[in-house]
Amino acid sequence: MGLQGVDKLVKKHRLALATKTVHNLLETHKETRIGETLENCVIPMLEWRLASLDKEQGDTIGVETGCGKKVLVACSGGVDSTASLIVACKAGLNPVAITLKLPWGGNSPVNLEKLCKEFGIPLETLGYTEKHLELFEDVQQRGYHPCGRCHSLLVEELYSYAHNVGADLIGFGNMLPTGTHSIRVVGGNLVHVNIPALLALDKCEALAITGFTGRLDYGCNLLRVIHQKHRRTRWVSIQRVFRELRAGCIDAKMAEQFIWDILSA
Amino acid sequence: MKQETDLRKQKILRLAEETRKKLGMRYTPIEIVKTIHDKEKDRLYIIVGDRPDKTALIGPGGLVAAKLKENLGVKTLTVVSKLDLVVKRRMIKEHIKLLSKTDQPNVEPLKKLCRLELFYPPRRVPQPEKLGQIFVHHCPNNLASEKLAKTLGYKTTGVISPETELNQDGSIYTRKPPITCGECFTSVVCSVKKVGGNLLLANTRNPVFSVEDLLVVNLAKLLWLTREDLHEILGREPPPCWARRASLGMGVGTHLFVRHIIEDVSLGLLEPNQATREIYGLTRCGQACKKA
Repeated sequence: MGLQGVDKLVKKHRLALATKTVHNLLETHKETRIGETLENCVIPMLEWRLASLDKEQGDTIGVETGCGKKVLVACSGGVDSTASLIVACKAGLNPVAITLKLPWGGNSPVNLEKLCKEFGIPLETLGYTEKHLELFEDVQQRGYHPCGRCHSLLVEELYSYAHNVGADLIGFGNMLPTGTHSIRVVGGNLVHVNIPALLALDKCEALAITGFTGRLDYGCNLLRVIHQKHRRTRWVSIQRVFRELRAGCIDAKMAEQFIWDILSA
Repeated sequence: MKQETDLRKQKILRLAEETRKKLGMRYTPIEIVKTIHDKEKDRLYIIVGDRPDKTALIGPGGLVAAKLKENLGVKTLTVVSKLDLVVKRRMIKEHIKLLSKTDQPNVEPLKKLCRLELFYPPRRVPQPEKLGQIFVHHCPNNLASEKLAKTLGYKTTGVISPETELNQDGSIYTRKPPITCGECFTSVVCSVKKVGGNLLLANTRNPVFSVEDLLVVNLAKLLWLTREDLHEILGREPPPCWARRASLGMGVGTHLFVRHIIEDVSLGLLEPNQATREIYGLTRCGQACKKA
């Protein structure tokens, strides 16, 4: 067994952990709306993934469930979140893509509007708030790494939107919080799922799902500005790249490209 | 025994949750697979499901783990991901197969060491025996392997490439004119072959391979040892990657070292924070070289 075999072993272990977590949640939320969401939306995705790993089918998805639940998928236009949206769509969850316009503009590799039209997915665009503008000013002035705070703001905003529209599930494109951390109930009847982490998808698989073949850049416009203005923040970004590499989310070639991109900022 | 472990698991979960709450962090489930207490070294191993569980249990800056250590009254606390252990065991089994394919008579102790490493944690080393000669490539990254070989009972003979020199502090070697890391390996192999050696420990990419009659083994990779493990074996921090670059001089490509670091991280032998420190050291060293 080479490293490829080990890769499969890692994915199966993570899927087993995620499945165990989902079943534990199901046990706690038996015969409730959350329980239904888990049964109709999350378990089919896990079953598809386990089956496709065994058959080595690549990115083909065969489950068409039609879950009857309101599913939102947060999309930045990056590869991971777009792959999550496509997976949710092909698994029959009828998702709504939700994107946030940020003050520093996007630099997404995927044209979200075009993709949503192609797949017949409704797209909701939220505007930025005062908090985002504050972050934009503050981060440039004080020179800390913006990703953590920006992500918290974004999640807060999306949770609030999801509660307002009465959504049952909100999917994110996070790859790192695998296994036990890939799914959680976030108050009310909302289930937060980190779709790539739950399904143990890596960046290569995400690229295959989205069909994106271009060159990936690391980070958003704001991060690039911060790297240039406050050079010590580059080390945090490099550590983030290493975290993804260590977890097997990206391969060595991609990590090398990202690291040189960051170092040469 | 099982009851004791279960109680300890519950206590750890409760303490971790309390500490995380005090630090203002949200509740997060942690999957503890099992706990092992190495009474000899008073070291508690907590085996968790995956890396996110490990991160949650260690906490920011190791604060949660420090509190746990204090409350559990153990000298050392080590959090290990079950997934890392699964990969380690699988790779060691592969390496035992590779060793079995060779017809070298003195690899049996290495196989024995591999078999014992399958049961890590805790780490067990076989009793020293009177073993044959083994050649060791003197290289900062090979120090732990040399120590392990001595523990097993091998008579170790250090080999230095003719182009390298021992520094005054005795820890690193200088090469004139500068070469890329790994280039000196060819001359080391030649030196060992000349004296009729058949087993060489070196810091190579492959864990086991043969150069004609000479069997080359990277003991650290054979046992799938991480930087932490090397630290434990050596009893001190192993020299960082950039020390090698500093020792080799300006002509050495930084790209090559970055690639080495990336490879070690992707194999799971180097942690992200350690790798970042190495890259940082490497670039600092590069700037110092440029100034010089």
